[in-house]
Amino acid sequence: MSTDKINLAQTSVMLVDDQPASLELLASVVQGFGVKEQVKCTSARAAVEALQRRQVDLILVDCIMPEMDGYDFVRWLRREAPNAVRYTPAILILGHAAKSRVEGGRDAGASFILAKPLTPGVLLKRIQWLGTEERAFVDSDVYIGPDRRVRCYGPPPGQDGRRDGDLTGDLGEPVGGNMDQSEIDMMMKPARVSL
Amino acid sequence: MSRPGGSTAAELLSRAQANLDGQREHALGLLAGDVDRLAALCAARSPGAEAEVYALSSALVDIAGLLSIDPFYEAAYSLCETASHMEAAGTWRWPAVEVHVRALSLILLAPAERSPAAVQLLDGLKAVREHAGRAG
Repeated sequence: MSTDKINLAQTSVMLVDDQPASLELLASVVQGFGVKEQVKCTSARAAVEALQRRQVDLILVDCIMPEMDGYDFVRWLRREAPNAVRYTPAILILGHAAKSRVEGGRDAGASFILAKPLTPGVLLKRIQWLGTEERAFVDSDVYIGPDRRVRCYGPPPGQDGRRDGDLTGDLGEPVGGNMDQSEIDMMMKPARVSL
Repeated sequence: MSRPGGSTAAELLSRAQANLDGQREHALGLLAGDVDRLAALCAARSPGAEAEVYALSSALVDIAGLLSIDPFYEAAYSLCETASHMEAAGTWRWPAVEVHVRALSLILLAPAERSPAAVQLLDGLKAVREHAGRAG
């Protein structure tokens, strides 16, 4: 394990989960990470209201909630939230749901989708990745969120992946026609996450 | 994150785990309460209780998924899968739920232990789940 220091003492984290027990368990983990502040919301609607008034540095949101679920919340975050919070990294936490919904979460604009069972180690690793990655933020008609090609890039250099199918950072030969550079520039907004 | 100060990942994880451990007994008590509620639903077999079975089993997954009690988590996940499939297919069978609830009660006695008995129970649940998946 790395001996590098991690400092989250200036980081505000929003936790969104309609189940009070799992919200408190998650909060205890995040508190152990030494974050500055936790904003706990027991519904996605409450989180939406809070984000109209303030910013946070990271959002952890449960997928399955009544009324507005985690997918809809992330979609709102990316498309309708105030500009100051639209780019906030958001990790979707998946309890029981069809694995096909993982792709749904990615397409909604989540930074990562984490399936339970979840350990503090896996969560901290993903937060570290968010703090060091340089994924572009894509803003197009059909998708708004972090560059989804992370799946093809695999984990950051020097990091072990969690899945058997994680690929290396080496890209293969291009397929299909190239986009014009100006088209690409129109879609990409480089955004560095600050945690 | 890279500002001066802070702690190593090992230190942060140790604190996070200690915090989790401090809530473990309370959380296990909540799981036991939910399993009891599931058992009561099985006993009553009330029409229209299917959604409540799924909601309770989903809550079990949510809590167990943070406690490193994998055998219990797997049994709860199996109940979620079984209940959601039976409800969607219109092939609800209470015995399939009862088997899961009995297994959950037994595994909860040592929820993190993958003992031969726990493995056998989980194998049995897999068969029930697959049977429910084929029906309808």
